[in-house]
Amino acid sequence: MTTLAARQPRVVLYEGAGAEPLPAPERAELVAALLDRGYSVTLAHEGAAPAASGGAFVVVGRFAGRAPQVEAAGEPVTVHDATGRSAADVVTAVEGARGARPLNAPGAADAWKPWFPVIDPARCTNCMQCLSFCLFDVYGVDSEHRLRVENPANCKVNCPACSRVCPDVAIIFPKYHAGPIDGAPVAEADVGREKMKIDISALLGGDLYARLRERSSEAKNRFSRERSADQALAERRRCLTKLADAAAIPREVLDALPSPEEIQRKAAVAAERAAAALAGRAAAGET
Amino acid sequence: MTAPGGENVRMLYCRCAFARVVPDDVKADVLAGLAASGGGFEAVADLCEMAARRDPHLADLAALAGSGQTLRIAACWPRAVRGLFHLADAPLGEAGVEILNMRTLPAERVLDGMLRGDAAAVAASAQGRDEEAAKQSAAGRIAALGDLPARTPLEDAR
Repeated sequence: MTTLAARQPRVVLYEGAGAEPLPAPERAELVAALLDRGYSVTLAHEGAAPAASGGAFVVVGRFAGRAPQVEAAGEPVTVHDATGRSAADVVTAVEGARGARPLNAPGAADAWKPWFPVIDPARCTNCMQCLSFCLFDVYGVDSEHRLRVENPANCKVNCPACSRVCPDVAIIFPKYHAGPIDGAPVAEADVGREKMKIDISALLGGDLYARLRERSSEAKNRFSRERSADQALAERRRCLTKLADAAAIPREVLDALPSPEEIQRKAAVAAERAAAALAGRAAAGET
Repeated sequence: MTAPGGENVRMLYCRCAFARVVPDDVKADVLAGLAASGGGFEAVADLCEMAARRDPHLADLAALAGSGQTLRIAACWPRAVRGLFHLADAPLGEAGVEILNMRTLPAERVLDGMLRGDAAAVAASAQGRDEEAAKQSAAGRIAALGDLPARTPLEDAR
């Protein structure tokens, strides 16, 4: 499970009093380079002195050798004089100043891709179908029994399946390629269409998965030699392919499903949590 | 932080650095436009990533929008952006928030909204269609037709 630090490391690019502004193209190049490394950037033009707050750990500016005092609360802040430095040089200096602060850098081998469901609060009716459906503990409920995305980092990259079981088209995956799952306006046809029913039992082809795995590693096992079993296997493979296609579940996600027993257990726990949340809402007089 | 137009505006730009759902040229041109505007702004590598970590900086920005300032956000679909702030426990109010959609609008229209508060660009961001851009595109096609040579190569060959 990926654990995310509370704050994204932030760089202040200061162009206020005592700092020479960068030419616009260089400013854009530097900001782009920092963003592409995973930093947030505040471009500050105002104030008599740079202020660093909210996760800022370094202040960059063209100070011509006269580094200013930085108003900072909490953590120490590094000041980097970018006079005469290229964008690449500044990024290197920022990397050095970051030290051990964690950074989720786009493109890095160990980067976490932020793929997770986002609830449209204007549409969600807290029916808890998504909570019942998800096997990866992405969803939870808040203290008022309302649905919330509790563990976004648990979500399986490129899998938007829960959005397809939502009867209210309230689940968005902002990085999905098409609407309304990507957050595009919801058309009447999206709401009216027959909701996809993905029976959890369809995912209980764990035995099939185990066999598929065995089959790929031991091509000559007894199972693969039995014609009838072969037929059954092919049929179920077709079913799963249909399921994967219909719900846009990536094959890797299906392949990574736990054992059938574990799926059963997780499904039961999720259903229990959903039922408890619904009961809590009913007791509070909310629908 | 004051925008070039003199309003009390805070601008936020999302780079969407972990995905390719926003056209690269739009992202680059919008950032170049903001950098050339002479105003300050906030830029984040990826709003999704920031929302997932429930970064308190999002709450700071949402609070600004609720305190009489206008928060203009260049990112993606407004429904997604509002959902992300909600997920980060920093819900955006209806007033004081203008979201420009870099997935569907050309960079010039996004900058119209960010730097000049163009209400049509904001509306187009939510609807997914931009009448103004369509008009400009049609006008461009007509102008391009006017640039065609009077005689085509085929006629020349006759």
